[in-house]
Amino acid sequence: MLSLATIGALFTGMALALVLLVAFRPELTRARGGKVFAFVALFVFPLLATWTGGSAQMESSKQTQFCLSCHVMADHGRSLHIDDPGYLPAAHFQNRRIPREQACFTCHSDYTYFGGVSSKWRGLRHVYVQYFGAIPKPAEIRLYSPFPNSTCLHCHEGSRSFEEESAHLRDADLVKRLKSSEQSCMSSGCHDFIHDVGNINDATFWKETP
Amino acid sequence: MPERSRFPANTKRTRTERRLSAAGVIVAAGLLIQILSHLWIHPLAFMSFLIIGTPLVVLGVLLFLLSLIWHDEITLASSE
Ligand code: HEC
Ligand code: HEC
Repeated sequence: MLSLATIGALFTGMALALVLLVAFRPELTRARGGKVFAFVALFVFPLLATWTGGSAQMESSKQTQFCLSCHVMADHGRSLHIDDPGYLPAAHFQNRRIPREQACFTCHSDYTYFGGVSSKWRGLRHVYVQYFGAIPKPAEIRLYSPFPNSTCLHCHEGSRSFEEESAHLRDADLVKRLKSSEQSCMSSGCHDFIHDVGNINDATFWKETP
Repeated sequence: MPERSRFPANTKRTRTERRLSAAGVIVAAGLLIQILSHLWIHPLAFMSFLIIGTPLVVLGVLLFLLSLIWHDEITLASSE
C-alpha cells in the first residue's frame, strides 16, 4: 500500500512540475487560461502539497524507526526486546498491546487536546540537544517532566484488568490515588521496570520473528 | 491586436513575468526539498521540511501574490 509519505512525495512532484513550467515559461500567463494556470501552479498546488506533505511528516515522525534514528536512543530501542514480561515497554511491544511501528509515540505522547503539539515541541528540543547540546549517556537521560498516569489510564482506565486487579485493590483508595495522579503507576515496587537501560547489557533479548 | 497567448517565448519578458518566474523558482526549490524530505524517515528530514522546504514555498507563494499586486502597466496593457 502507498504510504502517506509516498503520496506526499508524488503529489509534491506533480506540483513541482507545474511550478517549473511557469518558472521557465512565464509567457504562458499572457493568455487568460495561462493566468488561471499560474494561480493553480503557484498558489493552490504548492499549498496543498505542503499541507499533504506536512501530515505525511507528522505520521513519519511517530514511527519507532524515527525515534531510534539517533544513536543515543538505541538502548531504549533494545529495551523493547528484553525477554522479560516484567519490563513494561517490552511487555507492551512484544504482545502488540501497542502498535509496534509507533511504539515510542504511543506511550510518549500525552492524550490531551494539545498532546500532539506538545509532544512535537519536546521533540524539537530533543533535536536541538542532539545537534547543538551535550548528549547525555543513555542511562542518564530523564524525562522533562514525570511520566503522567493519564497516558497509562488512557488505555487502562475502566478496564477490568486495571480496576479489579488485586494488587490495585489491596489498598482501599489506591485506584483513586492513581486516577488523581497522587501516586505514580511507576512508583517503586509497582511498575518500576521500564527501560532500565543502565542494566541493559545484562538482559537477554527476544528475537522478533519476521 | 493579435491573440498574444500564441506569442513564442522569445518575446521580451515583462517585469511581472520575470517576478513570476523568480517566484516559481523559489517555490520549486522549496518543493524539491520537501520531496527529498519525504524519502527519508529521520529527524533531519523532518527539520528540513519544516525550516527550509516549507518557508521557501511560503516565500515563493507570497512573492507570486505580490507580483499580482505590483502588476506593471505594460503587462496590463499587453494582456488585455
Ligand atoms: C509501555 C509504554 C512505553 C513504551 C512503549 C516506551 N516507553 Fe519510554 N518510558 C516509559 C515510561 C513509563 C517512562 C518513565 C520512566 C520513569 O519514570 O522512570 C519512560 C521513560 C523513557 C525515557 C527517559 C529515560 C528513562 O529511561 O527513564 C526515554 C528516553 C524513553 N522512555 C524513550 C523511549 C523510546 C525511544 C521508546 C521506543 C523505542 C520508548 N521509550 C517506548 C514508557 C514507555
Ligand atoms: C496504547 C494503550 C496502552 C498504553 C498507553 C498502556 N498500556 Fe498497558 N496494556 C495495554 C493493553 C492492551 C494490555 C493488555 C490487556 C490488559 O492487560 O488489560 C496492557 C497490559 C498492561 C499490564 C499487564 C501486563 C502483563 O504483562 O500482564 C500492565 C501492568 C500495564 N499494561 C501497565 C501499563 C502502564 C503502567 C502504562 C503506562 C506507562 C501502560 N500500561 C500504558 C495497553 C496500553
